[in-house]
Amino acid sequence: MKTEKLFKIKVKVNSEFYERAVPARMTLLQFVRDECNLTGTKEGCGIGECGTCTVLLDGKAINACMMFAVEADGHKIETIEGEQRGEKLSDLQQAFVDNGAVQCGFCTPGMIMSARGLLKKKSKPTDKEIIEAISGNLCRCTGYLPIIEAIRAVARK
Amino acid sequence: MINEFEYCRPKSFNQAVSYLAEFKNARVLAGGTDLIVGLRAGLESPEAVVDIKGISETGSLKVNSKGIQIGPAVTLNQFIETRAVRKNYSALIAAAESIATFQLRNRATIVGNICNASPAADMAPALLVFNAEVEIAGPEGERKLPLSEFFKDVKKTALKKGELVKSIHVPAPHIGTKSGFLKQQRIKGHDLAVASVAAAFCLAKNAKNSGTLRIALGAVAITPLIIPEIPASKKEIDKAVKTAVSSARKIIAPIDDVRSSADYRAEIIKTLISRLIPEVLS
Amino acid sequence: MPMHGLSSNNRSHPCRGKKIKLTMKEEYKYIGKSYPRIDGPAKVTGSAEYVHDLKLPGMLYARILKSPHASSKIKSINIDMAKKLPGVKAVVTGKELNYKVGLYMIDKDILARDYVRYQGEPVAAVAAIDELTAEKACKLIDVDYEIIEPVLDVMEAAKKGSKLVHPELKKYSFMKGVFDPQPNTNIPHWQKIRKGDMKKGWEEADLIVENDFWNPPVQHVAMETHTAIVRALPQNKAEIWTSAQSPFTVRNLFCVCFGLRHQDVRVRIPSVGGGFGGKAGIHLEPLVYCLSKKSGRPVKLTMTREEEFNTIPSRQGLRSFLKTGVKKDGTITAYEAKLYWDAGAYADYGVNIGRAAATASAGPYEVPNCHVDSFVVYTNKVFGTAYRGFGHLEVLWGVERHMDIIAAKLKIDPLEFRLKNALRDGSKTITGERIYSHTGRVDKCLKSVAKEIGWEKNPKPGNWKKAVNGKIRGKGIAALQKAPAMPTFTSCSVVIKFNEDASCDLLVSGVDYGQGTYTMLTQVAAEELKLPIEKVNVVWDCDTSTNPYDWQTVASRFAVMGGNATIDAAHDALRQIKEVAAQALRCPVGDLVCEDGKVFIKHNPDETIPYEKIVMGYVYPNGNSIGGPVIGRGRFIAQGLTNLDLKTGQGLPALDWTFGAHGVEIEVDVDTGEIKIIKIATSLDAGKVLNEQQCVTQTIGGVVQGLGSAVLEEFKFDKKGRLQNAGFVDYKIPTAKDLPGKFALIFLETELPHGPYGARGIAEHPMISVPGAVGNAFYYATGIEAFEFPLTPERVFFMLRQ
Repeated sequence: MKTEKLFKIKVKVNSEFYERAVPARMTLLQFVRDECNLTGTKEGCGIGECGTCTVLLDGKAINACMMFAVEADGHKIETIEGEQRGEKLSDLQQAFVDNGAVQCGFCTPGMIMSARGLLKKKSKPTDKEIIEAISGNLCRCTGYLPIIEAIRAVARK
Repeated sequence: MINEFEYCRPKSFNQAVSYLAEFKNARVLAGGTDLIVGLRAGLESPEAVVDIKGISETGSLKVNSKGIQIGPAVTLNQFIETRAVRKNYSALIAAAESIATFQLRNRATIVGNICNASPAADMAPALLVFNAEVEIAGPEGERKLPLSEFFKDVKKTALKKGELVKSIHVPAPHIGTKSGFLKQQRIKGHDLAVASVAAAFCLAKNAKNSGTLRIALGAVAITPLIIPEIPASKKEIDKAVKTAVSSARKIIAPIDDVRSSADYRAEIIKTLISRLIPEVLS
Repeated sequence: MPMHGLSSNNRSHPCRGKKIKLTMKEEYKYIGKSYPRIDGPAKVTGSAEYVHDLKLPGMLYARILKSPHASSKIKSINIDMAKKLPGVKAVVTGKELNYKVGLYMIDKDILARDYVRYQGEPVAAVAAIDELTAEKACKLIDVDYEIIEPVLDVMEAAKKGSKLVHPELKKYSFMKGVFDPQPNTNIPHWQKIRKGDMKKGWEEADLIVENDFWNPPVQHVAMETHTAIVRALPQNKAEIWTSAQSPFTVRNLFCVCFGLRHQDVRVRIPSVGGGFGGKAGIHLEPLVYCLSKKSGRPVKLTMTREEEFNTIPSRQGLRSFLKTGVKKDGTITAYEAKLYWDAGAYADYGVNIGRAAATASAGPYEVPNCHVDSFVVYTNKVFGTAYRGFGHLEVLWGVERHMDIIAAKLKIDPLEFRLKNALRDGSKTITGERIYSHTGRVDKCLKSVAKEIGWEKNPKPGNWKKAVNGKIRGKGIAALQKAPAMPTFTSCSVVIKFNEDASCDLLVSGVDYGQGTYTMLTQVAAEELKLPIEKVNVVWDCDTSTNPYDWQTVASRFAVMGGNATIDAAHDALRQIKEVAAQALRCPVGDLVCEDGKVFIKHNPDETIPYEKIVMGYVYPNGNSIGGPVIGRGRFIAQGLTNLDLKTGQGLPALDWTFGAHGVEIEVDVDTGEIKIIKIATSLDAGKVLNEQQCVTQTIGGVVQGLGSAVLEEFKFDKKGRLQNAGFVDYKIPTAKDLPGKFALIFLETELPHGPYGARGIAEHPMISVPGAVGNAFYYATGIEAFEFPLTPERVFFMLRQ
């Protein structure tokens, strides 16, 4: 069996650098979960339709399943594991907990990263902007309202 | 599952063309949002993927009095957030905003949308009413092509083997042009078009009410369609709608698929035209 | 708690009637309050572990080969090339797996053996060092199929002489006394309800109305797909990690299937990314075990999203034929229903849904004479399983539409018509069960939603042709009812064990897959143990080796049963604490009071001992010790339930009934067919809101899921029975952009005497009559009657113009 060609990449994930040799076909999602062992980011569909794999690429929300790891070489990725502020939950995380925005929790990391991407761009987004930011994140449990309220709570502060 | 492939990252268009020639079956990678879906579904298994984001010009978006020059790595969100585009090219913005999700729009590109050449490609009708032009690089050099000649069939463009799009040029519209885009979806959340319409109304020189209507349709034939230019007046909106609808009926050839029946598409295109024309004529 | 769009969040407190529990308190320390979820921090930090995330050393990855045909004979399978692929450690096919699986009807093989019965059915499986290798190996498996014409239409399949999906049906073993399979047909169960005298009922009627309805199969769409890890161990032992709702059911069916001993199989369930009934039973575990046994290594199988739609079971479709006799004044005299459940290729939970939904098939109304035939029907499609509502959403769609149509014919207001016939104190259900005022108040539910949407008496149907600017509005109401569908012997147990600092751990086997169950249990335990809530912990993961038995986390039963078992366990713990304290304090047990983590003599409160000094045993100053570790044991089993008579369906199946109603105002865009929900009001008689935030958020989620059923979701099959929309591109569920303009939630608290603090289950109910309410509103908006859902834009567009 021909050995698959590997590409050396160096990616900053949260506050750490990860240097790995990866096959070209490895998605950023597989890289984060299997190479970096950061399993907070989830796979829900693999084709960019559900948003459970949302991470920030250079501060912008993307679906990690829709990008190859090699494309992330030299870039900065932020995942849910980087959201916490030291020992404390971040304002977004606390707002999700306080507002009943979490049920099964599977969509939660992706939702929070989408919200974080939005708040990085605009600290006081409108309702329309909040909904636009998370409408690519599917949730079957909450009906979205508590999540919108949680993000609003942070935006209001 | 995605199979193995060779990954190339050229630094220039010439190098990209060489890579495309080197492999029997290579695909260009910009945003990857169509490519990865196809690879995962096993619909294609290219030998190589040529990532053009290493070519510096690909990310360039220039807006000036001549129009817009869109590089192949310009993402939809980058486009949407550019004030100068928002100001004068409403149909293009509306089309871009209607595509996929916020996350996908941070990766998906305008050029990618037209090169994928889905009959439902949302950027296509909008770019067509602006008379967009495609600049192509290939083994035989560079060439330009009007976008109206770019779409050949379902997922087939005029690109020859080894060619790739260098940029899209959207000539600046006449002053006072009003444009719009409407897309019918099955859901308010992200969805492919069941049918779509773009329209641009351009006042004639020194005219206050009369001018020309350019209309293009999506998802109602194997390629996006252009309705031949219609003379129209702001004072005769109903007439313009009627003419547009009857012109549309003559050229559409919608199909039945899992998304929609042909009948619904045919009906909806009428609704969309009837709603869009008054908007651009107002 | 501020909520977007919630116009009111009030809870009515109706008169409680007779107080049966004398110690029932009005105000509680913890019960009723909105404690945030105990699993919130783990989930918002991404540290909560799902089977999706788990890896074991040496673990292999599995992929399955699925049939492309809806019905075929398997002539041969050649796995030689697949086995040879480097990295492949095991390949299995149906022929070598001589085991049968089934919940109630043992009709399924682990992998298709001689016949394939649905497109998407697994025919082979591979375990390899990685997923890509396993996938490549699957592609190298050569299957020779002989295609058989599939049976796709439920009505065709139900006919005598139809081609059989299961020709061997008469040989299958099944749960006798409960189910009634019809040999040589496609009917694995025929549920009958026979009440009263139909001839008399029809004669008394001034008007007889008949209608028929349809709803298609849909999918649960939990965000975490089905996934399982199994490690086969020597001496016929096995360890299972699975994303599932019912650890003991997985273990039990697994052991029955393979002939293993219960003590040799351990099932563990960490966090679960949604269930909605789709993970209620047993799914991937047996297949993964076979791969693990063959390869000698742990194996993990995760369904892709496409497989989740196409291979993993769905919600059944339903064709219902309803016929009602009414008097001029609106009194129902007779009701006849014929239900045909499109169950797909295997019986799974389908037969039980056909049984349970039949018991609610007249709706929450008094029906003196009733004849129901509920047929579960095999077809060559992906099979149906439990889905939130367990058949009640499907059957009440027809019932609530039918009620509105009858009301219109009688020229009686739809609300008045329902109130006139609503079940009340003294009514008997169609299975002969007596209703009391404490059973619940569907009348108040209906009235409250009608008020919320501004219901105007005697509405006139709109005319879509008179739409203004292409838009037209209308209002509709619908009632709902459901009791847990569960065996009469369903039980639950809870253990409370203490730590040295007098904090405690609850061991439970109900699974919290989003409902907030564990958070509610900490409140119950804290309330009953008289312990600060911060000292109560629920051990998150379920483990059949260490956690006490619970039947299944389904049916909206766990709040009642788990809550009661927790109360029982807490009381048991306090008994042990008081026994020791009585000795140490030298007083009768009856003199002792527990409060705030301490026990003291009621007339001499300075004589006190903190729990810390008792829960590991009490030590006297001279060193003598008494007592020992306190372990509270609690359990609950439903009292007095009976099986349904096989011939008449009479019996007492219901632990409790939860009633509710929806009221909705919609706007229809007549030129596109799109329906916009202006406002939706939902009322549920919860008995007692145990945690307000959890009730509110769960209800909103259920309503939105209900809207998905009502206007968006359906499986689309082609003429050959192949699923066309097995993915998110073409199977749409509501997104954040698809929400109603306004929600209103009303929780009634008609105390359930045997419920914890009076509480009933409400987990499934928020979605049950959403389609019915929307369908009814559609008529009053447009003048057009809807007989099938979903009311997608395309369907609506052509319905208007027919």
